[in-house]
Amino acid sequence: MNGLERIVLLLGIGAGFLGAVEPTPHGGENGSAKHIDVRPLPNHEEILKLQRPRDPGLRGRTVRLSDLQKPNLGDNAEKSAEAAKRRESLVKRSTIISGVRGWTIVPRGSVLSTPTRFKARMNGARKGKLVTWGDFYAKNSSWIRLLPVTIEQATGQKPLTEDFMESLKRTGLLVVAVCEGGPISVRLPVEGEELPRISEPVKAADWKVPSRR
Amino acid sequence: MKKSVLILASALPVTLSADPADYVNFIRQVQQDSGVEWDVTVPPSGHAISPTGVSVDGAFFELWSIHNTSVSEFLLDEQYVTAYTPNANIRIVTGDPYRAIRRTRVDQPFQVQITVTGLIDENDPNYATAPDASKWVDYTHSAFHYPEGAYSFQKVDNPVGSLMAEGFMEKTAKTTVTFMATNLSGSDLTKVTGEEVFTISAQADFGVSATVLDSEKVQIWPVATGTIRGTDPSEYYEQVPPIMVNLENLYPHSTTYIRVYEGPQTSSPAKYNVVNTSYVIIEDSIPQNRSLVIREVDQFVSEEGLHTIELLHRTPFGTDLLASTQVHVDRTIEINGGVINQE
Repeated sequence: MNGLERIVLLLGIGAGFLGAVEPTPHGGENGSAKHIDVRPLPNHEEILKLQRPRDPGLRGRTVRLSDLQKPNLGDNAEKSAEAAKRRESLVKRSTIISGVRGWTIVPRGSVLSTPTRFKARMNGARKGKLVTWGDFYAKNSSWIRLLPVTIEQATGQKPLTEDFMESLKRTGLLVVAVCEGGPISVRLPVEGEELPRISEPVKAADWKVPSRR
Repeated sequence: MKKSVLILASALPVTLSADPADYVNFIRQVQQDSGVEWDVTVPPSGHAISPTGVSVDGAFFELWSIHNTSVSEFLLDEQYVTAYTPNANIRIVTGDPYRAIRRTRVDQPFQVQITVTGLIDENDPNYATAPDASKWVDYTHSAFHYPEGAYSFQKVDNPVGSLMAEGFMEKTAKTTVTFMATNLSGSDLTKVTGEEVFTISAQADFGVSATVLDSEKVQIWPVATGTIRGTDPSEYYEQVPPIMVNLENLYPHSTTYIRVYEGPQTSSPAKYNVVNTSYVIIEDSIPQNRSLVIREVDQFVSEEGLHTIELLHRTPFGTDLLASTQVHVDRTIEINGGVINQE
């Protein structure tokens, strides 16, 4: 091998060696120039500045998670007790009417006239099974008279007159006030007692969507 | 008096073991203003229209089922209905589109949109006598911290939180409350976790407990942190060594990765490479921690000189720089020797 050949060989080896350590242009080819808006991480002080100022009056006030799902009862103890009692029993706060082979319940105040001969059938011994008002009336219509009343009459805004009540007694039948077929209690005027305040009618245009509470 | 179409429905309780035919069902309507009670008997399943309607003061509708021989009574359901019954809807808007639960990060803004409808206004003829429940609703905002190291209240019995705000709303309106960051507190706000709860409830009336009209919560997650170890900016490397990456509190919906570019750190490098083996993709419901070793950084360094390695964290709120380091690459090979030509 002459000198020139050796130089060429060494250069060849060198070139090959350099090529071996040359990194593959892996990333270079896949490089991206798409701009990314990179932000530094926020620190405690920066977040503190963003926070809403606290109401000093509420400092130290705590709340339990369950209280947010089940708020306390209202502070109207009288109304609460009234509602609790009402929920105890429907039968106890109704008038019981017994027939020969069954009995039913109607709201107290819906029986407007009870002839003496039927008094034993009122709130007395119950015979047979409890039935619906409709079934009961179908089998006992011979001694019961239905008296359709309006809401105004039921609430006492247009009270039934004494003369009318007297005329009911003369029928000799048990008189039950009904509204749209269902027994309804009727407020009769009581001397010295004011009528309850009734809400004014709401115009249809002002109706709000009702919803479950 | 509101003579609206009021549908009454009844159904016997399935838990009653006796024959449903042995039960007699009653719906009793009790008007609150007059005290008038009205009965409608119903079959085990059916509906009827209330002919009496309901007033502003409202009426209770009770569904009773009574056994026809034992006279055992069951109050199956009770509803209080008024001509004016408020409704409320709360919507929390955050920068995270995750739908299962509203969530955001401590430093991020969020909006609470409250819609209140059905309240009686001052011009209404019944305003003076209408119950409080028809005039306003209560607003409560509270904040609850998760126990340290936990991402829920799973092991906490009835957690205690802080009351942040309370008040009432007396208008039928849409209200938007914007918060620029969380309301949770802590010595290091970047690391707090918890929930903020917003509740709209109706006033208690007629013995009915105050009712939650709507309640929504937003989960608050901390700011992620990360470190890069394994290189020394003062040293020169022929080959970039493996780097150790430690990640904490990665946002539940995030992608974290390493990018490399030539030159010193800059906000907008002209060209950069993403180390594709460094991707950490999190699609979860809670923050995550990860540790990983990345050996392929060197493959993404083609030129000699100073390079910047950045650890980026992409979330729905943007991209954050968790950590960065610099590495000097010197691939020059020095050959000490000479070429001898021997004739």
